[in-house]
Amino acid sequence: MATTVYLSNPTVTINSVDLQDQCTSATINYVYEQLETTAFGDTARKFGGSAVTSLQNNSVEIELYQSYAASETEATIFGLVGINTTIVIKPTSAAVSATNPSYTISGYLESHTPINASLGELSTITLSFAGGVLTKATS
Amino acid sequence: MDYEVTSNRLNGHTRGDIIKQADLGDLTTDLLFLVEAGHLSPLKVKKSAKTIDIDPQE
Repeated sequence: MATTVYLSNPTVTINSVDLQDQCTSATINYVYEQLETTAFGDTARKFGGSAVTSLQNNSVEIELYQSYAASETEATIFGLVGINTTIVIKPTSAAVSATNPSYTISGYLESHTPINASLGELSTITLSFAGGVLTKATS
Repeated sequence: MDYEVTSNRLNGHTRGDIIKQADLGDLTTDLLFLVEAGHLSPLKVKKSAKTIDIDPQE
């Protein structure tokens, strides 16, 4: 049966800080770099193979509402620029299980936009974390 | 060293909890970031007050 996933209550923690109620978007890109293994005799291009392990090249993009209040978005994120930090994302706030897996990655935050505002709109920030090994937990 | 949780955003903990670094799981950053961000406050060890011996009055 076809199903759709409507993520309305995922949990997003950055550096162990729960920012779920400030988050509007989260994307994990799970990538193994594509290495070509095509050789003479092949009739089509080939990539990877049982003896070829390429590098992971993962990234995470998270959009948050900006808040300068104590212990909120700005206070939590500003110090993390230029270092690796742990991001954990789950589809729902329920316990980790096969149907509610937890994805953990230690990504590098290259940049942050402390001011990103337009008249009449809530200020938001988009964080892009790069690198790290993605781990999926189901229990 | 123990830390007091000072915000309601620390994953799995509530304000007022006393925790150790190990309680935060696989944290990759220094706890200093969480202290500066207002989520934790280091608990200082309180020294016991000095006692003064007073000779009993006769």
